[in-house]
Amino acid sequence: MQTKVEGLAPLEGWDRRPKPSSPELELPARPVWNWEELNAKFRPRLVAAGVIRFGLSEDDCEAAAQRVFLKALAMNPRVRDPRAFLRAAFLEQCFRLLGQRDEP
Amino acid sequence: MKRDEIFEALVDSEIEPAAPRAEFGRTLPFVRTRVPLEDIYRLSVDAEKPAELVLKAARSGPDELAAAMRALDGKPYRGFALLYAAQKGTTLVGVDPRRALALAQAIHEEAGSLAEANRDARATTPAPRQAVQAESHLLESQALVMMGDFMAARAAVTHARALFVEAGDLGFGSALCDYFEGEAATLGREYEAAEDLIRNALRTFEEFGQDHFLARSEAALGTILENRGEHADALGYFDRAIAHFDSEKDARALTATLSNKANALAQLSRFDEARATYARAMNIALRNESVAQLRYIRTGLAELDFLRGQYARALRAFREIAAESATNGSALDVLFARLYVAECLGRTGQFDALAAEVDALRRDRKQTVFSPSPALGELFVCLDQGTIDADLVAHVREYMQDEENGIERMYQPLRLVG
Repeated sequence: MQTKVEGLAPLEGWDRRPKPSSPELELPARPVWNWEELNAKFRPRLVAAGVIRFGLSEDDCEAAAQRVFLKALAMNPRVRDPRAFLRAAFLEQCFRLLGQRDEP
Repeated sequence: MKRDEIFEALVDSEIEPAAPRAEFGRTLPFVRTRVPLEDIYRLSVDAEKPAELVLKAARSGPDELAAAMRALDGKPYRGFALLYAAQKGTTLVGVDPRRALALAQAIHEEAGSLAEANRDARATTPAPRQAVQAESHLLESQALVMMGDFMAARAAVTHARALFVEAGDLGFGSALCDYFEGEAATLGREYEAAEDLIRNALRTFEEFGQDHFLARSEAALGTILENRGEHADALGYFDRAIAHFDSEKDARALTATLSNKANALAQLSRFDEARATYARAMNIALRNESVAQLRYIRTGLAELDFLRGQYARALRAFREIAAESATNGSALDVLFARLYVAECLGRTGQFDALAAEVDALRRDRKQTVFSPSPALGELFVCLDQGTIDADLVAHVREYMQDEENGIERMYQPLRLVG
């Protein structure tokens, strides 16, 4: 058979060395986000969920939301589903805040 | 990262959850001011075009790149522009890894003057030095992988990992590091480490709901299994990857994964399915005019004909592949195609043509820089002795393919003694 699998050679000029499975990330353009919806509607939902579910202060949750939105913007070309990213990152921040609160 | 069903339900509820208002005492609460997100979002949007210009300049050369960097001086979006240029630099890696490496180094240097990351969640810095430099190391790693320096690529990821932590990573940066280091480890044939790294990445990408990265991780795990010869197990990973890829946005990765799946099916002698899978890959590659992918797929299809004993068809295909590879492929592409041509000639009883093909290969070899090969040595000696046949060509080709696939073994001569 042709040199193994790694023939995964989607790159021009790449010879028959072993190949990665997906060497080139395709980032053709900035993904289209509905920023208005994310910022005006989704962010307050995250903050409220953080307050209700974990008993965190609104200020802490606002700060956490700010942080995860900044991280999403920093990863913008790579983030195709911003809601999923923000939700997971915000939850992680809530757990982190809970951990800090429980520290003696 | 944990999941929390109640949290999920609150976020997804049809009625917007309302947080209870805090009871305040007689004094007004202290409110910390934060930069409005809207302003930061605008900065990130403003940075898009300049980031593209940096990338374009990097394609042109060092002077243009330096000028593009100077054009960012004093601009409020400079951090985001450098960050996005590093991320978008991945598209330069396949075309010109050296320039991608130069871009990574330039971004790393430029980022030295950016604001430091602030670990206090209340005063987070947009696009801080550490985040930009972490991205520059990821780009460096991809360029080094492309240049074949897998150890250095993994070392670059180690730097990126530390910088992501300093920048207050939420887990996604670490997953990117795992993914890229896993890819480098795969290419360095360190499959155990690669599998651990990519499984870690896959978990995080799944949690963050980024299907395209999830698909890439599945495809990477399939590749590792395929490299280990676990073809049947690899198929499941390839199928999951294919299901998660977007056929438009991930066209190249999807084509590569389909090709790998076809290769695995061929290894399992499931030739009809392999042909259908190659055909699907070819459709996408044709649409995207990807020359290298098309050549890989056509080689796979020719090998299918060969494996099925359809030597006349395989001969025509390998001749075309050899001719095209001679002008726009690698020397090894040419070598393997010509060995197949010689073998097909032998299998169809065209012994004079077989000898002529191997003789032509020897002449080419004298003009090309190759490392000495005992296998080709035996082939050429047997050509002179008149003992060459298709079995010997197959013996030589299989040894050389194993060598290319990293399987180290002593060459056992088929005809020559001692």
